[in-house]
Amino acid sequence: LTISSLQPALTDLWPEFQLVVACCRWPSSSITEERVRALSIEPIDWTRVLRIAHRHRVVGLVHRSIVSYGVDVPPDISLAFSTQAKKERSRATMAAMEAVRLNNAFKAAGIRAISLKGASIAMLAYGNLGLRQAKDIDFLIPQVSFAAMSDVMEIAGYLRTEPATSISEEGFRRWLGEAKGTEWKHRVTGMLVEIDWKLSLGPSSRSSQLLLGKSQQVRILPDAELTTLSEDNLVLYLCLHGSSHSWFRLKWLADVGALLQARTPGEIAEIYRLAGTLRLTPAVGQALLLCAEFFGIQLGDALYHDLRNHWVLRRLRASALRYMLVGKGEVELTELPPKTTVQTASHFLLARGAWTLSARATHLLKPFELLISTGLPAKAASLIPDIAIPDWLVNQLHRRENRG
Amino acid sequence: MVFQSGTIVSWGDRHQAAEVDGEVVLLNLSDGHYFGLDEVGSTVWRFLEVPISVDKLCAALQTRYIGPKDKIVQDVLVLLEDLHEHGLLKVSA
Repeated sequence: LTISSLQPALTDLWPEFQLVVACCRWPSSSITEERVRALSIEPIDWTRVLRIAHRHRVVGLVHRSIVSYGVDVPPDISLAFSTQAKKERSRATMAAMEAVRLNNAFKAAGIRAISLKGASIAMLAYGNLGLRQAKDIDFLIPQVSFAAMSDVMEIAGYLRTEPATSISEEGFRRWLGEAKGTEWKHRVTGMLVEIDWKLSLGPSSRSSQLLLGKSQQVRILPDAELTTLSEDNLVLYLCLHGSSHSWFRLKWLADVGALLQARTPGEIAEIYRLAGTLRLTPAVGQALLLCAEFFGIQLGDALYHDLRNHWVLRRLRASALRYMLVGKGEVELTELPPKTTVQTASHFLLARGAWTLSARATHLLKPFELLISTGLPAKAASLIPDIAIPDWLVNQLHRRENRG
Repeated sequence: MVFQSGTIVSWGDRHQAAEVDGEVVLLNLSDGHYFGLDEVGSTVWRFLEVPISVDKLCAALQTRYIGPKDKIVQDVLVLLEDLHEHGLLKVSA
């Protein structure tokens, strides 16, 4: 088998970005320590390391590596990392406690809530609430529980922000049909909570709902647990989530890497096979390829060759890398002029091109009520046929190789 | 709330607590408000796990921290009032 080259290679990138990637490798190991130390003796712009870690939401992981490997960091940068990491640990802990409080309230109201991302992943991936940055809390509930959930959230001190409470009845009915969830903000603390009823939108919407079939309990605090997806399904969901955002935050990939680090190549191949049955092959293949390259996740020769030789996955890998590095990897996307070519191309390769266009139209017309006010048919977005060509291509390539 | 030296104080019933780097983070389960305690505040909080009188609490802190007794008592009372105001403290005579 010929292995196609991956361009650019990770080692071609700025040493600051490579250092941040190395620091995100979980758990600690002599290999990681050697890599971090080797990179940190190169001429490093530490201010840039801090900015990259911040933009990619991995300050806690980088700080942990710097401290545990005894890396020599300028005092001002060391202080900035330490201060920021502590702030993030407090924030993540507060978010975890609030997630438990809301979960108990949902349970008391008879609502089955599944915790997505946040504290559940922090504990499953790192065994620690404080290493993973948490901006908000994510739950998934059955849509049928929406009214009961709204009551719980209002009693808990939250105001619905998306869609706004001022939306018309008709608009809200359409929101329930078209959107994947709602957003809430605590009236006093400002804590953000996203409550969805779908795991994703677009072509993968239906198949991804199958991930809800298996769940597990995760101990978040000494006396509190949350329900989340089973570990394999969680990996698939995280791949889907990361790819739908073109992996522009390294945090998402680090989570997947940490969840996969203890898996054997055979187990990872099984996850990839499961992805195929759910039509999630491009998203999961992209993530596995990146995790192997960034974090040394062992995929096994056969799967690694398979993924690396697919032009679609190579293209997706390159797209993800470009998105991670946009603005030199240190500037927030919202601060950049709107250049969406990379992500749009990536979405087409992820078999969600048509959806991307419709979603972009929705985004441009935000708030959602404006879309409704244009008089477009209620199901306009969903009438646009899915473009499944990339999926088809991947399958054809698989078949051809299997025949070979 | 006026705390007397014999007032018994302890954790309230409606909170969740966790430690971050040795400092306590508290969440009021009734309203979702959260609070961070510094190192000294965290020490006070740990003493409150079992009911304790205000004067015993202050005496215990004087063995741990160096400072004028009046200042320690004053700081403890301010913290207790704050905790009580936010529903995190149970008070009995």
